[in-house]
Amino acid sequence: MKQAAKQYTGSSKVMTTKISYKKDFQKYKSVYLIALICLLYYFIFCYAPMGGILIAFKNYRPARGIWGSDWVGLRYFKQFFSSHYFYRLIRNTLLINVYDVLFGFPAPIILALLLNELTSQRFKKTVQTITYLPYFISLVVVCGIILDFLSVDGLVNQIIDFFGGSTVVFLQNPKYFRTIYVVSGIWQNVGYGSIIYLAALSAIDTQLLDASAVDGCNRFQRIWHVTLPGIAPTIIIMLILRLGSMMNVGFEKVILLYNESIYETSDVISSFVYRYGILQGNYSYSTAVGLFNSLINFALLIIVNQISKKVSSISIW
Amino acid sequence: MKVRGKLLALLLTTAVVTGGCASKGGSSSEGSSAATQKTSSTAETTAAQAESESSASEGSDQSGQGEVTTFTYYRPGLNRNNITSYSDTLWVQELEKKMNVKIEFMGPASGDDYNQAVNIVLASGDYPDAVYMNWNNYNGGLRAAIDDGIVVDVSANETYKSLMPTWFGDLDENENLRRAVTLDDGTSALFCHIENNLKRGAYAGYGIRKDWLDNLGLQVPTTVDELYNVLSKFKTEDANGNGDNTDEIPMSDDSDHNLISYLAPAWGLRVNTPYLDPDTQKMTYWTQYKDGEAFTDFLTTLHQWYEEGLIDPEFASQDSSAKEAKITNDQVGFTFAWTGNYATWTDALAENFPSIADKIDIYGMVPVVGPAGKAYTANDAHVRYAASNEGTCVTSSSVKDGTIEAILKLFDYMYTDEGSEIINWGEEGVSYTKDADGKNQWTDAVTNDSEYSFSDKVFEYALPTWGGFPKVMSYDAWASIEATTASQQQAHENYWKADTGLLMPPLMMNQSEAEEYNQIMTDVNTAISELYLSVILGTKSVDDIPALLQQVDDMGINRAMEIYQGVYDRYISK
Repeated sequence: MKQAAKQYTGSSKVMTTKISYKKDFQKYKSVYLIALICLLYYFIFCYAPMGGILIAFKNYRPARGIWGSDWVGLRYFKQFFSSHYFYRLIRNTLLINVYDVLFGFPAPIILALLLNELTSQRFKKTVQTITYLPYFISLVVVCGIILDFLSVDGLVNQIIDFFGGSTVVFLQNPKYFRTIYVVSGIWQNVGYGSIIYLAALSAIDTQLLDASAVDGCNRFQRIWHVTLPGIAPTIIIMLILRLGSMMNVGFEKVILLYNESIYETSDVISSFVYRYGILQGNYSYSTAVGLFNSLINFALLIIVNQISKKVSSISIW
Repeated sequence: MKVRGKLLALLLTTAVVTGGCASKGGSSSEGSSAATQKTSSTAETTAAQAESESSASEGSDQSGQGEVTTFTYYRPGLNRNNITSYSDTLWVQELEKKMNVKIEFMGPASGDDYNQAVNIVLASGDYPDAVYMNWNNYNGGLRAAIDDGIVVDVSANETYKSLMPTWFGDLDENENLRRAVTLDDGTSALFCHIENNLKRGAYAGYGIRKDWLDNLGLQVPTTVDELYNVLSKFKTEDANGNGDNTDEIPMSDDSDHNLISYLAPAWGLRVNTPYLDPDTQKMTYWTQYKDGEAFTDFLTTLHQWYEEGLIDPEFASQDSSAKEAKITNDQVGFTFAWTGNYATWTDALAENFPSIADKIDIYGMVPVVGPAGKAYTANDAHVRYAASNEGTCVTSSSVKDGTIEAILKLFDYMYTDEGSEIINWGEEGVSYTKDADGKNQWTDAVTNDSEYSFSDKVFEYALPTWGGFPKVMSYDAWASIEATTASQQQAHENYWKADTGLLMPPLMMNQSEAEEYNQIMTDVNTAISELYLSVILGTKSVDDIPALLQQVDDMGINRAMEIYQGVYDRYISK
């Protein structure tokens, strides 16, 4: 393995021998042109709109435009920090993500490992197709299904009923919301999420697996000592990325599932921003909240990346 | 392996940058739209200039029949089985012909999420010529919309004013109307529907299955205690007579919480809206009324009902269609109902249960009397001559486009007797005829259509119900479709018997008031909605109420009531 790596670095050095940029440009004109389109895309749709965060510091009134609105400094940040919901929003947003990382993150890895152990290709393909079908169902439909299954005479309650339990009104009790959110998320995303791990698994050297088999490893030992370390870099990178969005919860699923009686656990930063910003036209306030959220995400990403760099020397930059 | 990791890392770095950008783009899309707005608005100005020049040159021959003025009107569409666009209706075509205009209707197909849609349009900077909305939902209210240069203050311009003799004549004559629709300084920029008969406002309340009561030998309840007894009987006995005494849901509600809003007045409470304490005539909020005693009592009672299974277990999370499915499945005994619901539910029940079809009787009730001692209703329409905050305004675009004069003339015509007749009834001889007493009657073409029911068909010709247009409502036209069946009329009459002691006139705030008030009340209303639902559901205990009310105090509820009191005082002295 190490040798192979050395060879590779060696050859890459050869490739980067100095070529004049001008020559290079002339030679690959069309390639640069294609790249330019990408760059323009990022500039126009990602970087230019970032100027819009200005309105977090202004009392933005659309009719007057960004420049015409009055500066208010950190007023909206203060308003949010002193809001009665500040603590709760952060807690709900974080907890949903914590549970999702605890249960939702390992799920596709486990599925990929299980699929990898299958010998029947046909069965494997079938399982794979079935598990990623839900990913392609529109979120609105998924939420409709969830609401239906969890209603008083829905599937889940019928099962509870069958085993002699008493009816539970799931979507009116705050304690069930996170579970519903995370479990349905796993159901929807597990198959699609496993693709990247399956790809990583396919790159594992079969010689290693064979060698471990010869050395007397059983299946679990093989997974533990060969397969898992083999896909560890992928897992770590995916984890870093996931942890970088610890403060993100998509508002669509939340607003489709929640109601006032379960705000206690279901109201998250994005749904709050939606209610204040879009429904009430408080653009500045909701931008301030959104910006605060993005900053925390950004900070988290950097911190986790640094830790990973120190601990495992795997990092995204 | 490490190298592979690095390669993957590189790949994923691009992924994260993309992802990061995507999310950033989402949060600041306002910015981008505002940026494009700038260019588009300059483009517009030049277009407007060009147009004003051309209209100036046309000015000479603008004596009369000239060209048709086309203008855009943003509002929810006509969401009916048989017709979906106002442009296709007879009355709009009549008005267009008469006033030499062409209305281009814009906006979502139905009223769902309309605030969201209209707020985005107003933020885009590219305004339609006329916009309908509840201006309380514009950040800062109507006053702010005028100050922001979106809405045209018609009353401030003598030329514009002179185009609307009927409207401004009505304002001078009708004290109630003037108070309702003008801002404190007399500004009139909003054109809403006007009531000619307040009784039309009696369209909301609650109804009970009288046939269930008859099955059990009970009387229509008139007090909260009697209601409780009736609901308990519904629960324990086989009220719907299908042989199963467990399938009845004595009372049901949906996530709009209308039933709760209409029951609360029995305790002297209005849900999530400030009102005058009937004893002291001071502005109060339901958590503050009688120091929270009534609030606690109300929630304790409803929680007890919920625990005893009298209330639909899913009342807080189900939507209205889920509730209606239970109603038309002969399961619900008592619920909130618009007058219009009585006919549709009765029909659906009769269709689903032919064996009891002739017995079905949903009975609209006079509000029950509770601890507050009066049959209070929560429907402000009983006392409102105009909707005030909800209506159409002309925007600065109409000035640029040079369409404003035609729009104002049209709106004024819509308030005249002639114009209102066209809106409410359609065209004489086509959709209605006058009988011997001079009363209007729908023609056969409207009432006896082979394909569509009368209540759908009528919308091809006229708009007898409320639709958010500038017009004078006609009680007769409205009653002809909303109070036709015996049960509808019964409900309408009973709703009208309610006491109006807790109702509020329409109030309009100025911008700073609106901003401060909304900031406090958005937080308060969220907290209170959550509180009252969790207490009823039992996920919070009644003992938690004082602590939570303290929290509401901290949010500044008293300050909000102070603001509202000020607005009310100004309304009274207006």
